[in-house]
Amino acid sequence: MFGNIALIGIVVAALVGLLCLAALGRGVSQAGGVSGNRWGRLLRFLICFVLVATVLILGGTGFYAAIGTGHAMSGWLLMLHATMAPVFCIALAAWVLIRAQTARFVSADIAGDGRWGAVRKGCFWLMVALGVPVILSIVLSMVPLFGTVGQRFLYHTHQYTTLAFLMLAMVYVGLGRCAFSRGSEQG
Amino acid sequence: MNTTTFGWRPVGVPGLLAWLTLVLAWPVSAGAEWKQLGLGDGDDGNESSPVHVIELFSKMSELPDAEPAGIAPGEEGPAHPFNLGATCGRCHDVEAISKGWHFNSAADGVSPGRVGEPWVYVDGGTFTQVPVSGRDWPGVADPAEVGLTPWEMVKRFGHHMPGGDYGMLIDQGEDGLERLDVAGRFEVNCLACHNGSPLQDQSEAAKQIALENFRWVPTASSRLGDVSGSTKGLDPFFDFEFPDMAGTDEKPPAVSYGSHIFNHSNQVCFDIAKKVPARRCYFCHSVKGADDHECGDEHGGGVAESTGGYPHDQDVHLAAGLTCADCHRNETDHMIVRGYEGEGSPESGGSLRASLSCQGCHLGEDESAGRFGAPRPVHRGIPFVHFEKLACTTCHSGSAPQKTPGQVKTARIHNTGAHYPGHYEHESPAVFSPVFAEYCDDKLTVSRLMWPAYWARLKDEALTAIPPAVVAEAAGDVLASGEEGEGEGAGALSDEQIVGALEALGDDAELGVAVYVSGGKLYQLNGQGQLESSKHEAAGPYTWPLAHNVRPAQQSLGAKGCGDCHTTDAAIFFGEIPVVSAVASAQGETLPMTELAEEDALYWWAFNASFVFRPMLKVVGFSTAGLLLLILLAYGLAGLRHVSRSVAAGARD
Repeated sequence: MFGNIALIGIVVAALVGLLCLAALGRGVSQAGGVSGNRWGRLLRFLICFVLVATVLILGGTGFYAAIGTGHAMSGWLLMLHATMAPVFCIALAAWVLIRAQTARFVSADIAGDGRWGAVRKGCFWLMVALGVPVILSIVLSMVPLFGTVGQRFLYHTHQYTTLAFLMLAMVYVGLGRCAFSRGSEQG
Repeated sequence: MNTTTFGWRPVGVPGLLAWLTLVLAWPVSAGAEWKQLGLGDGDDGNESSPVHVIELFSKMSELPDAEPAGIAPGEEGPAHPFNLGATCGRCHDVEAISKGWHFNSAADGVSPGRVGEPWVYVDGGTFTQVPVSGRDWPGVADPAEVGLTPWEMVKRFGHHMPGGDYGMLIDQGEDGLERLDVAGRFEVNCLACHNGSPLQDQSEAAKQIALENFRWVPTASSRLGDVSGSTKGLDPFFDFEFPDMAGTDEKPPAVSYGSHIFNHSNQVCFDIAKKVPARRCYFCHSVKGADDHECGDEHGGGVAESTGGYPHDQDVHLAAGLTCADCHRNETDHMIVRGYEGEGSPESGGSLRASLSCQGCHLGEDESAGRFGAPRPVHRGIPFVHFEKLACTTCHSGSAPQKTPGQVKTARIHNTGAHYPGHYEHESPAVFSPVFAEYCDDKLTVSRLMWPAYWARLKDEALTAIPPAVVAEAAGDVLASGEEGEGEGAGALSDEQIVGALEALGDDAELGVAVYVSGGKLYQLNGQGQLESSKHEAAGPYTWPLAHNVRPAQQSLGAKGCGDCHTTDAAIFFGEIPVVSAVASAQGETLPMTELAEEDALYWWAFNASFVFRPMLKVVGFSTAGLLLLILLAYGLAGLRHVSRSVAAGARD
């Protein structure tokens, strides 16, 4: 059942993201631009690149097993997934650290100016919130705390939270052409 | 009439006539019904055991219409052995019972179920050791395929048979047909399992089988009568009513009953156990280390396992007070529950049968779960994928895995447990345990393993064993020409001998080319007459799952953590199984455990190696999750403060 839900969710999120990308592609100014020196920009780029790459690999391996085979991951797919997992954790934490300040909600967001920017901020914070169960659901299964029933609960939690995370990520990327509202820097 | 006291009602003439009819007809109808329906079968719900003080009956003729004769002490003429079909059959449906699991390997149309322990036909002269069974298990040969008639089956393996099965088919073969009237059939020996008396002696049964006294097995093994003599060498037309007619070289079987076993009504008391005691099962279902060491093998080999003799522990179920028959039970049909996952069908009482498996008792969800107080395991920290990939027994049964599996001897294969002069245990074949293999359910299952060696015909990638007698006739001289000696490979087959034997057997256009299978390899002659060896699916080792002894939870795999299995030298993945080959040039080889389980060794090495980084993964995971939570908290509180200020400012305005 999760395979079907995942397929539908990913397709819908991808469509929404593409629509947002197409609709918001013109007539939106790039407010503020990216500040900082060259090394800072390079670091931010690297973090974003690693995060996107790990999300793609983790999502690809995980959802291929769920949608493609219908069984839990095993074999080299599982190895790749488990290898990328700590990299994703670190990249996610770093990305959240560098983006949290600019992603704060400000008065302009509440007033409705640049609503798509507010939506994008909402996606950001939801992804941050989902990142916690995505990570903890697997790490907790590695310690001798939960029995078989708990293990199944953690596994299903991981499945659905990663699906939600991925869907939000697709929408977030689709909204990427719209900037966070000008008031963000002023907070 | 005082109706209050006795509850009688005036019923009148019709009622009186009906009562008289019932009373007068009862002995006739009850007597006929008592003899036909099987008084002793089924369950009337009373927990007490019926007392078996009954007459003994003998049946010295194998004619279908032969009538049994009662046995009484002091009667004229020679005493005869009692026949359990005639004695027990007065109350029990022996015909239905004889179709049970222990007695139906030779029957057609019986579902073979999961593979099990075979008989092993060993013929040293032709370097043969081939697993044999009447059940259609992959990897075993049918007895007829290797030239074993039912008579031969009983002669070779009857020492650990409960009777029936091939014992009833003795006349299907010239050798057995000739001896049938003298030796009798090896009928179902009910007492082998159900005799609660400590006098029941299966070693004596094995001895009587060796003496070809099939008809005398129940009498001798129950110790109700002393049996001397043997049917070996007796004339096929020997008349047991006139034993004095025997020649000077013949000593026919003679039975002597003690008069003390009979009561005044010529009845004998049987101590019958409805629930078979474990000691009865042990005679056939015992295992011991072939080279028993107390605490491991200083030569680096495996730790021997055992059914429970010192210094080994009992199965935890037995130690907890259960007996074999608590789980391995049956109805009147004696289709005993084997207890593996997926056994049985809903039509055959599948739900009850399923409840007597590991998962059924310990993890079941229906009302039959938790039988006998079975604890429900929590399996903390074990991802549930383990339960999809591994059988319960893999972690819980047999001895702990070692780098090199130990050798064991089983009662049926190696003929242990009998203690009569002239008896000897078999040294071959070598049986290794524990090993790990997969079966129909694709679950890794702890098992035992032996290496078949036999001559065969190969046609269309299928192997058909050649009877050792045929091999001996064609190539006996070649096979006997080997050099003696000491050390590894001494007495083994040389390549020249194999070539000579294959040439002697020749190729058959219809049956296929002659090959020799040993040590997991197939040896055959190429177009130039040279010997070539190759691996062949049908030439691989024969494995069968084991379930006992079950170790305590603290000794199960995984109890000490993931490292029990997920290391780069874990025996369950990287053990090396010794390859036993009859070929001199193939000595000292081993089979990796991953190859037996058809797993990718490189993958498992890499996966297990990654467990070194598992603690780091946990630290990273917990740290980043904690950091994300802190960030959420920080910005959340800041946002909350902003909102509250805005609300307050709005309120002032």
